[in-house]
Amino acid sequence: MAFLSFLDRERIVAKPGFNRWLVPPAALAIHLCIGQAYAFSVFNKPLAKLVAISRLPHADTLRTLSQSKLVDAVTAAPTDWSIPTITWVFSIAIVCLGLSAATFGAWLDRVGPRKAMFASAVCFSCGFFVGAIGVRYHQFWLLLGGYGVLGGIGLGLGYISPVSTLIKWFPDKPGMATGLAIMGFGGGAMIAAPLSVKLMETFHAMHHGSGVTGTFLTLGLIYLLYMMFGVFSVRIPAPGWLPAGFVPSVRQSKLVSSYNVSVDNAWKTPQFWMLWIMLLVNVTAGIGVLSQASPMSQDLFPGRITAVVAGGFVGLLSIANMAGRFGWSSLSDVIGRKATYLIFFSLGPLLYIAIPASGRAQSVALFVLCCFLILTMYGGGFATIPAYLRDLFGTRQVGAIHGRLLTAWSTAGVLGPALVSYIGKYQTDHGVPKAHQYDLTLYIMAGLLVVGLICDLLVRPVDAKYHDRESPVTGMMPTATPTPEATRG
Amino acid sequence: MANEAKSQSASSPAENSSKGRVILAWTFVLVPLFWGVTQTLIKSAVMFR
Repeated sequence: MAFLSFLDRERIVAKPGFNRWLVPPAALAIHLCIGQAYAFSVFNKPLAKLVAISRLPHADTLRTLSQSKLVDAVTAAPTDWSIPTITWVFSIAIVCLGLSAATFGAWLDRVGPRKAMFASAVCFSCGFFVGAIGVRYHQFWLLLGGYGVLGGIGLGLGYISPVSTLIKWFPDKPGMATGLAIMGFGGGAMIAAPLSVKLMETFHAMHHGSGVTGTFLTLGLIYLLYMMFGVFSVRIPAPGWLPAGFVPSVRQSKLVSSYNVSVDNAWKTPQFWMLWIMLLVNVTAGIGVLSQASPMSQDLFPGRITAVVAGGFVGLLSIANMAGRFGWSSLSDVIGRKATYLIFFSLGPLLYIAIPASGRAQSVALFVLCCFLILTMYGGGFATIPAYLRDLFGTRQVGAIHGRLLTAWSTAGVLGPALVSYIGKYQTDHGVPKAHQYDLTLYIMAGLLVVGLICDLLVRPVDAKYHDRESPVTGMMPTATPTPEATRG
Repeated sequence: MANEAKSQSASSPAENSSKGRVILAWTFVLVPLFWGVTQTLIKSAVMFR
């Protein structure tokens, strides 16, 4: 289609004078939008009472209430969707994120980031539009197919599309660059949650309904336009480009490869699967805290942490998640990826074990500190993995390799909540007191992190038989003086 | 941040990347992010009361 030629890879090669610091905002624009997925839970309650709200008589006094109070006041109708049913929408979206990232990663590396970002914007916003129709006519399959499947594909494409581009623009600080983008995914939820609440209130005031349909349509439109900023701003560096003053290293870490590995070969290496397990356990363990943060804080400190305070605590954790994405990935440029994950997987278990201890000691400060650090490492794990992949497999197909690795996230997205709810039910069935119901889950999560530690320790340089026969990686070519940041593993 | 792309080919025409454009781009993404973080901090403030 000729009219879409502006999306072609050849059209976005940066010309001389282009400032590479224009690329991170393009990446952030995409991630700030798709990060909305983490705020989907704000729709859970209104979606669970759509029929009940639509059946309210026009003159009902309940209509004078705000949207949130109306949702709380109304009892769900028998034909309304249940909360567990609705949570499938988010789960399917995360599964589709991983699957689409794995499927379209190689396509992204071929066609370039602009086309992939454009496809992501279209899928993500259309997911909202189709979902809005599903909400309007109370058709769950449309909501699931729209937001869950179509939106999920947009999530996967959007998540990986700027990452390999940033790695190529910032060979001197790949961790910081990818951390900036992936930080946006954490920050996106912080924008979407209050924005969605305000939009639902506005549409409720206008039409007296749940406000979800109007909110979905508006968000779809806003995100489409905002993501277009990323689509039109992104550029790829010219072949052989290097930042001014950047000197590739000679004596770099053994783990930092000077050769590219294709996605099909990367898939066969033990290193890929070590990183896959590391991402899986880090995300599963993080979900173990994140999904229980509110009830756990209230049960460990009864009378001291109320439901309202617990809500504030969850907000604080989302800031930790976002800050960790930038902080840890930037630190990994200095201390190396392996060392960064060694910190996650050695300090992490101690923090998980300290949470029950904080409850026994009734130390709120220790509890908050442990959860805060855990969430920074949860975010840091996501943000540092692309740079780890680049170190091991080079830059040529890092987008596609990253896409395949994200299936670990999808797996954890299903495994984590299932594990938490199963263990929780087991504890309840065996009459464990509320204050100790979380102990077993946290100890298991600590054990999972030890598995991650073993995997990280086992990561070795990729065997030469997997290297591409083409030219070595740009920016890693052993040609000149070593730079300090590239000398550590 | 200026002249970051010095080592690119000199044969293609130059692309304007003024500092103003960079600042504008960063403002475009950081303002909503700042708003979101502020909203979250306001919600979290109840913890410290």
